[in-house]
Amino acid sequence: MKKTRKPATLVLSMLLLLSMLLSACGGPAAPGPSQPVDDSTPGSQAPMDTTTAVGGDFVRKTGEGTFTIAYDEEPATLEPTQIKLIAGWTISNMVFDNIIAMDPETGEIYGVLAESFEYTDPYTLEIKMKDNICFSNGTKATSDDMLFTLERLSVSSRFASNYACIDFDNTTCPDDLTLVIKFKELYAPFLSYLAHPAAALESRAYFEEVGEDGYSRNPIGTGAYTVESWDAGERVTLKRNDNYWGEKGTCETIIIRFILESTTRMIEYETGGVDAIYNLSGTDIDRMAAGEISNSVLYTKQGENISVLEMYKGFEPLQNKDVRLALAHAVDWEALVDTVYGSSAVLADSIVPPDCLYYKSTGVYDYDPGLSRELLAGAGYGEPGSLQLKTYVYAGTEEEVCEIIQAFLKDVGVTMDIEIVDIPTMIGAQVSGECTFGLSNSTTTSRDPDQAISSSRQTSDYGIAVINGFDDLQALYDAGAVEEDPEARREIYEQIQQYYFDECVRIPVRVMIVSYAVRDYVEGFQPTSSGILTLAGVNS
Amino acid sequence: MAKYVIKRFLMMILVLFGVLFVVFSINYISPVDPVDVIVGADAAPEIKEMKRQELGLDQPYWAQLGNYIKQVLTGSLGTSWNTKTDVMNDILTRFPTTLKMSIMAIALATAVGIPLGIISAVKQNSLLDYICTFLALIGASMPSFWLGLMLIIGFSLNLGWLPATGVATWQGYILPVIAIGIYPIATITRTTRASMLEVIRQDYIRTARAKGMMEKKIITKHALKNALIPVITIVGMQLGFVLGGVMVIEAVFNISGVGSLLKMAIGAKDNPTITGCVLFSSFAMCTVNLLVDILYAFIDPRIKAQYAKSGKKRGKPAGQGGQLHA
Repeated sequence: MKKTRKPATLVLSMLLLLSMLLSACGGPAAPGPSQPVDDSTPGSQAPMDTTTAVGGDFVRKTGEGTFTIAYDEEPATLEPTQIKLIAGWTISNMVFDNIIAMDPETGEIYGVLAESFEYTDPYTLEIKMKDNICFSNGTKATSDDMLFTLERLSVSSRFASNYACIDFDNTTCPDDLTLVIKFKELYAPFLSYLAHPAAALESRAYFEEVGEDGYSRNPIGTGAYTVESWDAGERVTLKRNDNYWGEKGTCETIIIRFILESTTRMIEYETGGVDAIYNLSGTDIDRMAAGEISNSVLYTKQGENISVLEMYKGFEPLQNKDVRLALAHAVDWEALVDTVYGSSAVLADSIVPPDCLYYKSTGVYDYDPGLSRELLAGAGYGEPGSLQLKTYVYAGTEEEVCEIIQAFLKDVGVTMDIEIVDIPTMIGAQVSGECTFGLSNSTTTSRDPDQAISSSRQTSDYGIAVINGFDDLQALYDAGAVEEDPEARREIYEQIQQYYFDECVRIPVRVMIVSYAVRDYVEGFQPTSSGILTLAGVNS
Repeated sequence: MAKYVIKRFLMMILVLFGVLFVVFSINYISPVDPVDVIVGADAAPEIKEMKRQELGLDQPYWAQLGNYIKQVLTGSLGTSWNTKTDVMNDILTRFPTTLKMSIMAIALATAVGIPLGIISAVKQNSLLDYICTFLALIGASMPSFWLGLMLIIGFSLNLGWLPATGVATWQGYILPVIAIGIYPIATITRTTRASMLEVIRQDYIRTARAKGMMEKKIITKHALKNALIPVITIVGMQLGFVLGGVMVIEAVFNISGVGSLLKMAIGAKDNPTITGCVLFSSFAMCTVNLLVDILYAFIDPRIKAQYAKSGKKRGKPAGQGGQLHA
C-alpha cells in the first residue's frame, strides 16, 4: 500500500465521520426524573400543564439579569396596530400599555391606563385616563393619544373592521384626560378588541415626528421597557424603563430572539443560548415531558390557534348538506391529528378554540366510511370519481394533513387534487374560489368568539361564500355583534357553534398546543395560551 | 484587454436587465394578488383598493416596470411592502455576513479541494485516489441542510465546542462555513483531478520526465499551472453559486443574511424585496464572473494572444498592446 503523505484527506474524512458519529450518539448527562406538577399558573383561563425536570449538568450561558426568549417568527413592524405575529405583540406588550385589558382568567375587562371607562349610553363610551402617564421619551400621554390610537386602528389592515363602528366625526377629547367615543352602530365585542395588544396607546407627537417607517422600527410607548435595538433577522433588545409609571420591570434587559427552525431553536435552548423558547415540536414536547432535558420547565396548554376545513359553497356539490357530512364522516380525524401532529396538537371539537369566551364543545364527526358512501350515493355521487375536489396548500405539516384526507376520501370514491403552493398563492386560490375544500388557520388573540369566526363573515369572496345560503347563521352573527349582555352573547355564540356542527359548514380539525420550555432558574414566568407574554415580572 | 473587460461589463449589464425583467414579470403575472397577502384576504374592499393605489399596483404593467427600472437606475431597490424599510439598506446590512461566509467557504473549498484533486490525480487508481473520489462523491451528494444539522448536533449540542446559531463570534462561522463548503470541496476536487489527469498526459510533461526533471517539480511547476485554468473558472462559479444559495444554511444556523431575507420576503409576497434580493444576488454573481473572466485573461496565454492579435490588426501602437498584456 502506498504511504499517505498529505494529511488533508484524513482530516476531512475524520471531520465528516466525527460529525456523523457525534450526531448519532452521545449527549448530555442524563437529567433527573421529571415531576409532573399540578400548577395553576396565573395568566391563563385554565391551568397550564407543567412538567419540571431537575438535576443534570446544565451550565447557563446567558447573563444574569437578562432574560432571553426565542420565538419562531420575526415581526415585520413593532407598531401595535400593524403587528400580525405573536412575537411582535409580546414585544409591544413590553413597550406599550393598553388603555384597558382583559383578565385572562375571568374574561373581565379592567383599566390599565384608563382610570375609568363607562358607556354613558349605548352609543357613547367615556374613557378617563390616569394622570401620571408618560411615554418613555418623557412626554405626557393625553386623551388625544387615545384618539390617535383609535384612528390608527381604523386604518389597520387587520383590525379596521373592528373599529368601523366608531363615529370619528363626533368623537371628542373634552379635556387632556378624557375621550368620548361615539358609535355609529352597536358593536358588542368592542371592549374585547380595545383590550387586545393591538390597541396599545401610541404617541401622536412622536409618530408625526418620526413617520410611520421610523415608528415601526423604533417605537416608544408608556410600557415597562423600551426598544434598545432591533438587529433584523436576529433579535430585539429591550431595556428597562426606569421612569415607568407602574411597577418596574424585574430584569434589566429582555432579549427576544427569532429562530425560525424548530430544531435549531431547541438546540439553542439545550446549549444554553436562550433561557426560554416558545412553540416546541411534538417530538420535543415528548422529550421534555419524559424529563430528557434537565433544569427545565415545560408548559403546555391547548392554545388559541385552530385549524378548520372550509368548504367553498360556490362549488355546487358542497351546497348539499349530505355531501358535506359524507366528507366529514369519511376521515378518521382523531387518527389524522395524532399521526401528523403528535403531542403538538389535539383534535378540535368546535370551530372556536377552547380558551375562547363562550366556547362550546360541539363534538367531532365519527369515522364512518359506510355512512359516507351511503350519503354520497344518496346525493348522486355514488360512482367513484364523480365528485372531484381541489385544495391548495403550502408545503409542510398542512400538506401532510391534506394528503391523509386525500387518501381517506379516495376510499369513499371522492377525488381530491392537491396543489402545493406558497402561502400567497394559496390565499389567492381561496379568494378566487379555485380552492373548493381547504384548510384554514386562525388565532383568536382577543379571546372573543367574534374574532374566531370572523373569517367567515367578513368581506372577502371566500368568507362570504362559506356562509352563503345560511340565512339563520347570518342572523345569529348579527345578533352576536350587537348583544351586550354576556349571558345572552354566550347563548348566541353557542348556537352558532352548534349550527356549524349540525350543518357541517366547517369541519374542526385541530387545536395547537401552545408550549414553552423555560430554564428552572427563571422566576415569575407567566405562560399564556395565546403565546403573547408579559415578561415584566420575569426574574432571570 | 480593455476591450475585453468592457465587453464583459456590458454583457453583465445586459444580464442584470434580463434578470430584472424576468423576476419583475414573474412577480407581476403571479396569480396572487399581493394586496390579499399584505392586508389579508378578508379585508374590506376599500382598504384593499387604498393599499393597491399606495403601492402603485393599480397602474399598467409597463408603467410599473418603467417606474421600477427608473428606481433601480437611481440606486434604489424600493421599499419593502412587509417591513416598510429600504430594500437596498436591508440587503446591504445583511450582505457582509453572506459574503464573508461565502468567501470563507470557497477559501476552505479551494484549500482542501485543490490538494485533494492533485493527490488523487497523481496517485491515480491508488487507495488514496479511491478515498478522495469517494469523499468527493459524498460531499457532492450530501444535502447541506442535513450536514448543517449534523454538525450542530455533534459540535454544539453534544460537545458544546461551537455555537449552534448566529455569527456573533468567529467561532460561529466555523460550522456554517463547513456546511456550505462541502459541496464546492467536492466539485473542486473532481475538477482538479480531471484537469490534472489531462495535463500530466501531455507531451511536454513526458518530455520533462524524459529530461530527468524531478516529479515534484514537474507537478508543481509545469502541470499544476496549466491544470488550474479550468479550476479557477469552477472556483469562481462556485462562489457565485454559494452567494446565491446560502438561504438554507442561513435558515439552519439562524444567520441573518441575504438568503434569510429572501426567504422571509417570499413568504410575505414582498415583491420589492424579492426582486431586490434576486437582482443583488445576480449582481454579485455577475461581478464574480467578471473578475474570474479578467483573471482568466491574465493567466491564460491563449486569451492574451487573441487580444494581442486583434490589437495589432487595428494598428495599435506596440507600446499600448504591451501595456495591456503586462
